[in-house]
Amino acid sequence: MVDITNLKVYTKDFLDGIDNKVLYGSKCQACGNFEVPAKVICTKCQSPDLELVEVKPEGKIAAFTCIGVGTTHFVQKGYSMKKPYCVVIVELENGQMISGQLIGGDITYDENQDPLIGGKPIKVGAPVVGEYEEYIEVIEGKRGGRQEKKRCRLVFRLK
Amino acid sequence: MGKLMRKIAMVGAGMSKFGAFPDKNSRDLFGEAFINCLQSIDKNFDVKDIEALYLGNYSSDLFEGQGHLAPMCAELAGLTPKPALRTENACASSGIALREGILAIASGMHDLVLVGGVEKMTDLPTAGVTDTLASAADRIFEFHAGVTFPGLYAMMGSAHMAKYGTKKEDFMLVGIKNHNNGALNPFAQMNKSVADIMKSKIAKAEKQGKPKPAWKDEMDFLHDLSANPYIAYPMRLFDCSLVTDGAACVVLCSEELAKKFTDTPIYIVGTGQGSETFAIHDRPSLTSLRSARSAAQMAYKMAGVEPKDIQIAEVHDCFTIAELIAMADLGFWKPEEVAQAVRDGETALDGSKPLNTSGGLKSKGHPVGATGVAQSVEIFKQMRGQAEGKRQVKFDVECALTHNVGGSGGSCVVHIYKK
Repeated sequence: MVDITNLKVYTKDFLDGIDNKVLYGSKCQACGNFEVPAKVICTKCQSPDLELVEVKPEGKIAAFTCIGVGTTHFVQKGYSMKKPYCVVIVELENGQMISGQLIGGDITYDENQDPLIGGKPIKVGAPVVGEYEEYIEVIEGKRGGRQEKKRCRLVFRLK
Repeated sequence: MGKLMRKIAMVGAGMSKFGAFPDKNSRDLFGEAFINCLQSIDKNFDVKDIEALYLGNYSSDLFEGQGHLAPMCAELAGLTPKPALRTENACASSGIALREGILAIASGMHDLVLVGGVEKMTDLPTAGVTDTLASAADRIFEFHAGVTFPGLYAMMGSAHMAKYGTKKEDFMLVGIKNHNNGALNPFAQMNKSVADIMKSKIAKAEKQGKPKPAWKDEMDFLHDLSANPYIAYPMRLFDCSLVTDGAACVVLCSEELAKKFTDTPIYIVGTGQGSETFAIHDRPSLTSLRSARSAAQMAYKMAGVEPKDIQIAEVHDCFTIAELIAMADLGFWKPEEVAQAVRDGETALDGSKPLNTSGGLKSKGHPVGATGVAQSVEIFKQMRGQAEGKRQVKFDVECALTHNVGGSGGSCVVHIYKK
């Protein structure tokens, strides 16, 4: 049964999962639809009766890009036009997809101006495996002061 | 369902010059576009005839620290205390304002409305612009993975290359074509062809006593990673639309009223809007937008026309890959044929179906909230034979289309125009 004022699954459950090094999908108990990343309501039948299911962060590259002009967060991490970073969309075992950074070395370009990571070509279809990168998030308190929180990001590496 | 209860006429259309203007804000830009629009109306017009304003604006809040733009612009146009509404659907904000204006007249709520769009983007540093645009993508599932806006379209590009054998050179050809058109548009931000940009870079190097670049032609120039670096592989600098300040306005009214203002109104006969999943990894296809396909179907059906009937179109080329995807989503070509059509020059000014005669977002510029209405301004001019300079197409345009996308495709709005 689902409480009428509360959903069973919230976005935070997915994010807490990542912080605990678990990738969650959601399985709809009404229609069986399975989605990754976990949703808060089934996007097929709109049932809120979802169960979190652990998913192996493993699959193949469906699409990728190597970014030279990054977001502020990635610029602060030291990425630039001279030191691009790669983001991939990974197609998981059952066809669901998820976005994440591809790590495993510097991005360079071959003679055809196609990208390599750590010397290995980045290609659609290439198998990748996920891992969890730890980082510290600094949270500004509402009444001043700062708090540090240990968090994780899901990243991928070429297999 | 799916019908306009009254015929909608466009009787005036104008825009500000697009560019980077450190000394102009949204108010100034909207003022320029409004005056330019008034000047385009043939006769008997009085601003008192305007009953309401529909204004597209993506994010003046973040770009300028100023929200709530609709009453500000309405005041400028002398409309106070009439209704003024702001629409926000990322880069489709003003295409959707246009649709709302059409619906207001079609429903009988209003007889004559002003539709505008405005965006002032160049006050922020590049990282701030990148972050602001990226906030139209999925903050939790995409932005945190490091995805930027060029990155989203670049990923679609990588999937298009893998699926259809599209080449990086095909992207370059789209950019060259749009710059060729923009070079003929005095309102364009970069009104220079790629060849002219290359030549001016050579001249500059010579003047500064630096080694003369050895580019053989514009394709050679575009292959040079130092002149045309990857912003987000496979999208390079010359594959990306510009960061732009600008505004645009059109006046819409009922068919009966239109005759008072002009003998040559342009009718909007079809409007369609669609949506797509927020994060691109949730989509069944990475090389097509369901928002665009569904908006186009809706507009075609309402207008009673087919893709082959469309003679010219302004399509949302925020990145060159986006123009290729649009060509298929609008039904002009099959997805596997779009690259060849570009290679064959079908979409050039003298081709079988000219796309982005204005120069598109690539060369004319992309002040995100103004883009949708600026596309209508180009169609208004082309259909009335009033496009400046040599970019006027050489045939009578009886039927045209605009395609305006929001975000990475989360929103799309399509309009069809007839004489």
